[in-house]
Order: sequence, then structure tokens, then C-alpha cells
Amino acid sequence: MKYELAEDYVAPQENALEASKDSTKPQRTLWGDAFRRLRRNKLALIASVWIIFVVIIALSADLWVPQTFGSPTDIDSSTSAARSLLPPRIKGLENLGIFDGTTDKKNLTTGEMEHINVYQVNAEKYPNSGVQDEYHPFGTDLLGRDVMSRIIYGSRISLSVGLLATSIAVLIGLIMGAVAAYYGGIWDVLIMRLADIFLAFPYVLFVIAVLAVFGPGFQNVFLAIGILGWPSIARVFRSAILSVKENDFIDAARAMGAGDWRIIVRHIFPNSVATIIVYATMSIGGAILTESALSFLGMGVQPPTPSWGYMISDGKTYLSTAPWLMMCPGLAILSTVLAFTVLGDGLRDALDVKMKDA
Amino acid sequence: MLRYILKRILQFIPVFIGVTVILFVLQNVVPGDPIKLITGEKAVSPEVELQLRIANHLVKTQEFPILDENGQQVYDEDGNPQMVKRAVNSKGEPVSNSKDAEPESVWDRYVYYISGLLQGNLGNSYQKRRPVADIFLEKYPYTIRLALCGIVVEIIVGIGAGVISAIKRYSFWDVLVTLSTSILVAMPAFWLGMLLQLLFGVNLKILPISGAGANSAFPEYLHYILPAITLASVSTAYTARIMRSQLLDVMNSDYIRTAVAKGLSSRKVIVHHALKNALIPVVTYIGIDFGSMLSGAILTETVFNWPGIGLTIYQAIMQRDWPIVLGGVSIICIVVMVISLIVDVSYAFLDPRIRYGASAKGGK
Amino acid sequence: MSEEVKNLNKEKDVKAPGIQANDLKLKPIPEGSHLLEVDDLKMYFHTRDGIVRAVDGVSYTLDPGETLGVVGESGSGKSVTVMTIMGLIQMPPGKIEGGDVRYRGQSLLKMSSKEMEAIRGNDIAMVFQDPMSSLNPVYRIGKQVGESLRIHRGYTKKQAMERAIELLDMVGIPNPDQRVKDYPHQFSGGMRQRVMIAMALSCDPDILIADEPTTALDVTIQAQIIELMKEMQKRNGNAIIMITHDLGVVADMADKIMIMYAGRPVEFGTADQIFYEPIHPYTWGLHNSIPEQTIDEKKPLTPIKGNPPSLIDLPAGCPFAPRCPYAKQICFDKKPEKYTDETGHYSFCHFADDKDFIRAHQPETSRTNPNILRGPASAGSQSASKTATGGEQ
Repeated sequence: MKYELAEDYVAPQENALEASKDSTKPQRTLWGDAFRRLRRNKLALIASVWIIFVVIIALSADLWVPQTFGSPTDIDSSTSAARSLLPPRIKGLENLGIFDGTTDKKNLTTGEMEHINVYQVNAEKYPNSGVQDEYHPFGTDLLGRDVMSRIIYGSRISLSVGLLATSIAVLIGLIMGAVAAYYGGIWDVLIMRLADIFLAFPYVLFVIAVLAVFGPGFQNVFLAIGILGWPSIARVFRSAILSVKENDFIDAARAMGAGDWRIIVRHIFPNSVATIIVYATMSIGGAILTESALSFLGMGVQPPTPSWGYMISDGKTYLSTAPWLMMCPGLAILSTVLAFTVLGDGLRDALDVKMKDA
Repeated sequence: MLRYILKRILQFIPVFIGVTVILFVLQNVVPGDPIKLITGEKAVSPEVELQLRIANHLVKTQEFPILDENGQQVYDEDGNPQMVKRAVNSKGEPVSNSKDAEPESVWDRYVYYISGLLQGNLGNSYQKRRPVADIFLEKYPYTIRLALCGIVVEIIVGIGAGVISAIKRYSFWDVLVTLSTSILVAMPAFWLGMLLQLLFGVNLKILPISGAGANSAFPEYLHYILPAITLASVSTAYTARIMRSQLLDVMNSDYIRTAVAKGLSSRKVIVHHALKNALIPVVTYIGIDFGSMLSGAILTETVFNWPGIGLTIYQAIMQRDWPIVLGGVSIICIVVMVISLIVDVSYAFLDPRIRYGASAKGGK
Repeated sequence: MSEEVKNLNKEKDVKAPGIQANDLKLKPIPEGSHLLEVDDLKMYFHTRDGIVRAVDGVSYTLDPGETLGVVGESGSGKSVTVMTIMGLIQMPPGKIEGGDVRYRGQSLLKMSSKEMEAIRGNDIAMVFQDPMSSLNPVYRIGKQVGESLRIHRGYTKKQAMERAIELLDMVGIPNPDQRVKDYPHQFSGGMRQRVMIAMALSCDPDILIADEPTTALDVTIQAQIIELMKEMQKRNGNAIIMITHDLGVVADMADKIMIMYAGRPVEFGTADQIFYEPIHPYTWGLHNSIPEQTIDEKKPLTPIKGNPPSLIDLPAGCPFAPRCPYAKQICFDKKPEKYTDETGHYSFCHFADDKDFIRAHQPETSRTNPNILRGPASAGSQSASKTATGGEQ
């Protein structure tokens, strides 16, 4: 351990340096600056590329996901038995001995072998099922549906729930936070007390309780996640506004006769927008996680619509015989949520937003 | 300090009332007909429905004497007339049809609800034909035991990893801790549980993957390992992060510089001066987290078939047994609220600035 | 009283209970050495954006019982210099690039961390700028004051507590036996700084380094703290290095003054020389921006224009040249050499030996214009103490 004066000390010098650079390049703006800093952050860059990739795949799925894989939702009874629980098989890797559509029998106990006979998994699954020409890179599920196609279509649910729920939470949170911070007094007390009450609930259980009453399903899921998610955003936004509100330019605007909402929309909002963007980005990841948990518990989007969480719970039964069922959707959730958190972190650093850990 | 504790308790009361109102609204008011919530998707006869309405205080009732075939009052052994509760219409006449019965006012239903709640009455499971409170009382010890194991993991691993990565900043260990906490936080905990099952149960076959030890080939304590790790995973990551950032913050503070300038060794500076300050918020976080662990890890218990309240709620969801779900959520909310109150109050004992000062720091 | 204590003190040092036999302050200063010698010290920070020359060739000497004032703007490297002496700079990013620091003839820079721990707080102690944050909030005052004694002198808890009470009494804290049980937040800012001083003096250090000890305090408290430090110095005979951005603070305190700018000393001399015969334009600038003079004399306040340069890319010539009103072409092209006169008064300026130049621009002082002392003294400590200094001359 050494006491760290160094960083404290250097900081003003660096600022001075930046300031001197700023004066030579007057065109640079806050956003340009932030973008430049974000671009330097390699992790955030990778995360953004991944998010864009997932979004493009989700949007364009109908155009290119091969129909030979079978529809991700419809069950064709004539082929489902043959394709049931096929292990991952990737073209080109067969000769290397990996992802060649076989499972290793040696690892299985006798009890599990019996289980395997029931579901007809064996070392030559593809030829035995008469589908030797097919390649299912992530394998197939019990009903013979291609796991990769289901993950691709499942991304639509995850992304849309993430985006819609976050938008709702941010919208409500913004209004509540703005009213609480701007009007203060009784409004502040009432809204913040309400936020306390909402935050006293364990979040996932609260969503479960609401869905228990209103019923599961896509619409209710994003509504519940969104509506119940407002208090933390309201808190963040409230303190962001309070810190902006202290500034002289707000007084100046008021002195020039600007109305309350005009001040909020034209002056306070742009100055707190960085905080909101960072918080919203991170919330999307959280909403995707919550959605997957709800689907896992059977409270989310109802089958046969594919959703990542539901696919994992599907794989629970076949953990030892068909681990690919839970592996791939889990990786999809992990990578997407991680991408949003990393991007959020990067944005926070780039926009220089002060936030508490956790 | 008394003022601080009093203030916290006073702040607790409106939150408690607010939470119960929301729970009450969810259970009784919103869906239109609470009978559907109580019975799930089962169809019930009109007589049963009326009985359910009476039992759940959905209609106004009055006591009526029981009459025998001859129209005579029936008396019990002590000579008191035997009475029966019957639904009444607006004129106070007994009715035998739920359509004619006068609905109970929302206010009276809330009073019934809250007094029931305070007496530990969480309603009845229509499908299991048992009081919800009994079911949870039976399951709670499992959840408590699992939560204790989880909190031990969280304290040891979380604080340890946080301290190491703060002291050895930018070292390999720091990068490892930062990386793994990011991944743990982004990972669905139930999926992590299944990965652990796959690795330690299915492939290595060294740990059991299901149940709490009944009829198992493994010794009972081994059953706790994987669920406890899964349950603690996310909060351990947060603990490590908070510990790290707190310790780094404290190490940058002026009083640490003072301690170094006094000639204390690095070890003494960290152990005697930095840790105590940095631990205050970490302990608070862990305390609150213990509350949420006690509230039953519905996902972890589902993955590991752990017979606690979380699994009970999951099974109730599957069977559309909503009284259990809502009753479970109610009891959990109350546990969580009470524990965070206790944590808030004990915060005062940890921080002398609150213990001896008038200036109480804000909650968060 | 103070005489008596001072005499006792010499004895006490040796007999002080628990003092380690190998304590450096018991060793005599070698012939030809000073108590503390800072010799062309260079300490650079290696950062992502480049090398920050935070301390760039600082030299001074300090003798027992002497007071050195180090004056400069924030970022001039005055604090970093003493931090380097104390070994409080994290390395890396900091790195010693040259020079030496010798305490009683022994190089501090060559010492192991264990040896430095024995010196910190024991032989050289420090008081910091912000008393509100420099005390650990979760420990009682008594424990914190007695801690140095516990580690350096091996006191028991009880002995340390008793001594802490004495020390607190000495620095003027009322009811010390009660207040040792209090926590820092129960003290006011001025009281906390007294605690800090008591803490620093607990092991009878040879040198007390005070890093802007009054900056965070109210003006009236500032004067009290300076008084206290002077009184303690009389009593204990310790040397003081007083770091400040305010020339007025060291006016009546310092025997020698060093003016720093951009990590380098620009002028060094006795307090008299710096106050009455300053020869560097930067020192003149500091004189002209002391506000008290405007009150007394209705002289316009002349701030130094511009900002200190970035320590990463310093100008090729004199670092002060861009802000110097008298800068010539040579100032921008060539680094000035050190000019030292026969009294040891030195300056880094191309025109330091140009008497006409100096006479033409040197600010008026009580030497050149006796009227200065006649103005009504303002409430601040600075002007009052300056009057006192002037009176002594």
C-alpha cells in the first residue's frame, strides 16, 4: 500500500492540459468529446458491435433463418420425433471430432443410459434419425425444433422486453423524478415515499405477484417490469435535477420568464440527459435478466413463442442428456446483458456521469 | 442515536402501510373477481363460491342461530345458542346466492386483511385446502439454512475478493475479480446454478444437484454447497465491487494519509484504519442482502429442487395456486422490510458519526 | 515558563520514556551537514499523457529550531516536495529522477520502507491542510493522538491515553480528559487542527511539516493556529517547514522562505530578503497580489495574469516567462541559471544580477517607503503580524 496522492495531484494539470487543447480546437462539443472517449474504450466498442449484431439478427431473422430448420414455433409432428434432441452439429467441424452431432457415451451412468434410450440419443443420432444431411449448430429440442433458430427468434422477445420495459420505466421515472425535484415540498415527499414503498418489495417477486394477478404474457411482462422499475430511475433523475437546479442558468431562465415545464424540458433535461442515457443502458440489461427469470419460472412469454429464459427451463429436465438446450440460450443472455452493462460503463466514463456502485 | 432510530422506525410505518395496501390491492381489488384468484382455473359450484366469499370476507355477513328441523334453536353443551355466519343482502336478510349478497366494503376488507396479516394469517390455499401460513412455516427452516450458507459465502468470498483487488490494484487478481464480478452480475443466477449442476453433479459426480438431503447418497451438508454458491453469486459480486471501491475510496482519503504520515506500516494502515471505515457500507449491503436471501431464492430453489419457500412459490405458480403466490410475496415483503429496518438501525451502532452526532446521514 | 520548558525539553528528548536507542533524532548532526538537506530533488510522475515534472530541482537546507516557509500557487509542487521527503508519494507513477534528501546526514531516499516508517511521525511529523477529513472518523481522538506513541515508543494503551490528554491540554483543548473520548466529528475545524498538531508533536519530532495548515480555517482561527505552532516550536525546539500559498502567513514566522513555481524554486532567501529585497518577478507578483496592501495604501491590486503552465510540457525557456510582464526574448528561449549572492539568497532569473532592472520594478516595501507601516492594521492575522515583523527590524 502506498498513499495515492499522485492521482489527485496530477488531475488539475491534466485538466489544464485539456483546457489548453480545447482552446485550439473550438468545435469540440460535449457529445463529440464523449464519443471520442467511448471510441478509445475497446471493451465498450466490442459491446456496441455485439448489440448492433444482435439487433440486426433479430430484425432480419425472417429473411435468412433457413426454413429447413423448421419453424421455431410450429411443431411439425411428422418430423419432430426424428429431430428430437439432436446434439449440436456444425458443418466443417465434423472431421475435427467436435460438434459432429454425437454425444460421448462414456460419461453416462447406467441410469442415464436408460434415459437416453427413451429419447434415442446415441452416438449416431443424425443418421439414425434419417436427417444425416442436416446441421443444427446448437442442436434441437425435444420437439425437434432447431435451438439456434429459437435463440434468434428469442432475441426479439429479450430485446423488445428490454427496450419497452426500460422506456416505460424511464418515462415514468423521469416524470416522477422531475416533479419531485422541481416542485419539491409535498410532491417530493409523496413521490419519494411512494418510491420507497415500491423499493421495499423484492423486485422479481413483486413482478411475479403482479403477473400472478394480471396473468403472464408478453404485454404484461414488459408492462410489469417497466411500471415497477420507475422508482430507481426517479431517484437518479431527481438527484440529477437537484444538482442541475442549483446552477445559475436555471435562475437566469426563470428570471427571463420561462415557465416550469419549459425550464425542465429545455434546460434541466439536456443537462441530465447523460445520466439518463447511462442509467437506461444499464437498465436494459437488467430488464432482459428479469424477463429471462420470469420466463424460466413460467411467468413470462408463453410457449410456443421462443424466449431465452423459457428455453433454459426447458433444458432443466435434460441437463445430463442434452446440455445444449440450456447452454446456448444462457450464453445468449449472458453476452447480451454483459454487452449492455459494459456499454453502460463505457458511456458512464465517457460522459463522466457520477454514479454509485451497485 | 435514539433520535436516529426513532426516525427510522417512524419512516418504516408509512412504507409498511404502503406495501400492505399494494398487496391488498393486488389480491382483492384489481382483478375484478377475487374468487378466480382463489380457485385458480377450477370451476366451483355456486354454494362453494358463496362459502368462499364468506370465508374471505368478500360479502357482508351476519350471525344467525342454527335451527333444527322443527325450527327450534340449537344449543351447545353450555347452553349457548349455536350460530352460523351467513351472507346477507343490503336489508340484512340472509341470502343463499352470491349475486344477491351485498359485497363487503373495500375498507372493511382491508381491515380484515391487515389484521389477518398481523396475526400471521395469509389466507388459504384452495387447492391444497390448507392455510398458506402453515405451508410456509413448514418450508421456512430450509430457506433460512440456505440463506445462512449463502451469506457465509458472500461474506468470505465477497469481502476477501474486494479487499485483495483493492490492495493489489491493477494486478492480475484485480483484473480477475473485476472481470468475474462483471460476468456474474450479467449472468442469470439460475443458469449459473445449472452450469454448476452440469459440472459438479453430472460430469464430476462429486456433488448432489437436487434436494436438501432426504433420500440422498450424499452426506447432507454437501447438498448445501451448490445452492449456496448459486444463491450468493450475484450479491457476492456486488459485495466484492462495493468493498473494492469503498476501500480504494478510503485509501485515498486524508485520514489514511495522516495514518501513513504517523509512521504506521502498510498492513496496520489497512487493517486498523482503512478496513473499519470501508466495511461500514459493505456490512449494510450484506445485511440488506441477507433479508432478500431469507425471502427465499425462488430461482435457486427451483433449480436445485430445494424444499424452501421459493420452490413452494414456484410450484404454486405452476399450479396457478395464486393464494400461495400472493401470500408468499406478502410474507417475504414483510421479512425484507423488517430486516432492512434492523440493518438501518444497526448502522447507527457501526458509525460513530450517527451514534454520537445529531447529523444523521441519509438512508442510502 | 517557555524557557524552562525548553531547557527541560533538551533533557526530556534523551530520557523520554520508551524512546528507541536507534532513534535518528538522538544522533548528532554530522559536521558540515544540516538537520535537513534537500539537494536538487527531482520527482516526476509518469502518466499516460506524459511526464509531469512535479518537483524539478528543489534545494534547501533546514537547521534545528528554524522555520522555512515554502510559498507558491497550487500545483507549484510545494506539497509534492514534502510528500516526497516523507515518502508519501506512490511510486509509480512517481519516480525520483535525481537529487537527494538527507536528514541528519542520512539519505531518506535510500531508506527501506521499514526505516522510513520509524522516521515518519517520530522524527519528521506532518500536519495537513484539511483538519475536517484528516482524522479517522471511526476512532476516538485519544486513540488517534496516542497512536504514534504506541508504535514509536511502545507505550501501553493507558500510557498513550495519559500522554494524549497532556498533549491535548498543551495545544489548548479544554477538558482534555473528557475530549479524548470524543470522535472527530464532535470537534470544530480549529479544534481538529489543534488535535492534528498535538498528534504531530506527540513524539517530539525534529521537524514539523505543516502543509497549508490554515487554508481550510476561518481567518481568526488561522491566526490562533499559527500562534500555537510558534508557541509549540518555542517549547519543543522543533524545526518547521510551513507550506502555504499565502505569503502573509509565513511573514512573521519564517526564518527562510522559498518561492516555488511550476515545480521549481524561483527564489530562496531569508524572510527579510524575500520581503524587502525580492529579486524575482514572480515574487514581486506575489507581493502585489496580497490584498492587505490595497486596504492600507489604496494601491491597486495587481494579480498575476494567466495560469501556471502544464507541468507536462513546460515552456522551453523560463517557466514564468509567459506570465512575466518584463519577459524578453531570452526568457522564452533559454532556461535561467541559478544566481546566488554572497548571503545565499538565490534566484532563477536572467536579470537577477541586473541591479537597475531590479530597482526599477521591485515593489515598494517599508524599507523603501516607511509610510507602509502607518496604515491602519486590518483585522486579518497577516497584516497584524507583518506589522510586528516590521517593528522588530
